[in-house]
Amino acid sequence: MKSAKEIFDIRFFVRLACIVVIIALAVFLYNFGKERTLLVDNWTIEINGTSYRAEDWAKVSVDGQKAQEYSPRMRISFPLRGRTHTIAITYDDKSFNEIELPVVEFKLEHDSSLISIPALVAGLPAEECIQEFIVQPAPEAAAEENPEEAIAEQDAGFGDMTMEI
Amino acid sequence: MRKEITSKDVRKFLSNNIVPIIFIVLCAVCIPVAGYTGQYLVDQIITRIVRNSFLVLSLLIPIMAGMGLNFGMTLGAMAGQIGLIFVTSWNIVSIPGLLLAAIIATPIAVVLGWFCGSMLNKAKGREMITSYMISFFMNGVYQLVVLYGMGPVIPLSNSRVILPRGYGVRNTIDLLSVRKSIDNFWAIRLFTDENGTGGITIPVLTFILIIALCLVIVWFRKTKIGQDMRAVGQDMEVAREAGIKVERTRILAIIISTVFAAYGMIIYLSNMGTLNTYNSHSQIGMFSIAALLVGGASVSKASIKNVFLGIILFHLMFILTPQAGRNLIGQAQIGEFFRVFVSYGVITLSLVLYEIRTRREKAESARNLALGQKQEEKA
Repeated sequence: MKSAKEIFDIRFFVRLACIVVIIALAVFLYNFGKERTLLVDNWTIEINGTSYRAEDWAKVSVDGQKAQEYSPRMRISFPLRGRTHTIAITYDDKSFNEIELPVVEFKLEHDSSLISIPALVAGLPAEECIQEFIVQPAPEAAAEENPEEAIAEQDAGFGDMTMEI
Repeated sequence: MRKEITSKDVRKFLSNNIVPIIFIVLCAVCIPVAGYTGQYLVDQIITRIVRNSFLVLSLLIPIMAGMGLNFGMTLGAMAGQIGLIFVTSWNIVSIPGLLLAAIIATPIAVVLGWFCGSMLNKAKGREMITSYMISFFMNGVYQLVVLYGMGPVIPLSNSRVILPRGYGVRNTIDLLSVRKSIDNFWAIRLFTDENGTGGITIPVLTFILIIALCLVIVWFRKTKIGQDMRAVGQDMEVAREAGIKVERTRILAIIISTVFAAYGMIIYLSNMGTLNTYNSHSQIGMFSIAALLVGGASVSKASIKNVFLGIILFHLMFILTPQAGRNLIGQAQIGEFFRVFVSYGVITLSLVLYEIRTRREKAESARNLALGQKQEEKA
């Protein structure tokens, strides 16, 4: 039987270090490469019992990308990589003066989130303006696929020999 | 002094290269019939080289170790697919997604390769048929895991991947988030028209990866373990006498091949952009092996040159035959038939030729031995 000294030799620690580096790389790639969807929304919204009316006009830039113009009841989706992002909003007040809000930094916790322009304009903290957005599959999309049937239709793995013409 | 070429030399050359010669002739006939432009054909061939090279290169090491054509590369393909299923479900995009898929696939491929290698050690001399059957067996296990394990046991919930019933992976997964991310990272476009379309696209980064793998294989052959594999491939008993751990070396060859096949499958699928969960892996082994054999490789001998020649000829055939079929008899489907019977036909022909050659060599060495003995007796 091998002694502890033989088991925990330099080779063991080199291998262990390699595994740790690979796991660290995997964690980094997960965080760096994960794409989340952010829906920037200009609908009237109610948060904690208070209603925030949709802005008549707003210009929004996410992560310094090209700014998009919003009219009421408009929603635009942004695919974003990473967790921390910024949003810059310019809007018209009641006297049609263009007001630029300070850039807001926020974190995305869910795969798909919705951020409200009216709530941000009202000065609510970013965390309160973001909520998870759950996509409901369309009824036709939810129609059952049947992989078992597909597998049964396959031949025994001998290629396209059962192909019909 | 120039050596004269005898009819025996010609016959030997023809018998050694019969498969590539048949394919060159077929391609030469099909090119004018199909009527494609040279530019289109070159672009298509580059795409096929990029897509398939890694997979076909993964077959070289087991051949070097005398284990024949590794039909068990399907196991690596399954590992690659599992990696891609995970990254698609987690929504990891672009090159980080592919790298993470490779990291996930590696331990799975190592375990599957170790299992396959151990089995093949128990079936020495019948490696090819055994690896072929192992691939069927593991296909069943893969289907069980993917169909019933993913969702309830392995927590995946993305509706793009998991079926609406809550368990099992969809038949087809869209890989748009990673599609061509390596190819497009650094691509050069040549001979494009005024609109910037058409022409020939050269995915430089993918080519760099393929060249790197070729260099790794060349370097690997010169290492201690590479030399051991060659020794094991030539004669297991002699290698054992020389102190080489034959079983361990053979397992290593299969593990390396399976891991490369997993990476190859990730590159292949990222280039295709669609993962056919229950089918993609099942034929990839067959087509990769057929491509290698078309390039002039045999069960016991294969080189990097065979890989590239094989991919070019084999896939050129597939590009040409549907159009040639349509132009000749109005049926593009003929190309599909061609793909099937050519693949199996080439493998059969190569196996038969290998057997004939081996028998001929044995008979020749026996004859030489007998002749030597006679001469000794006379003396």
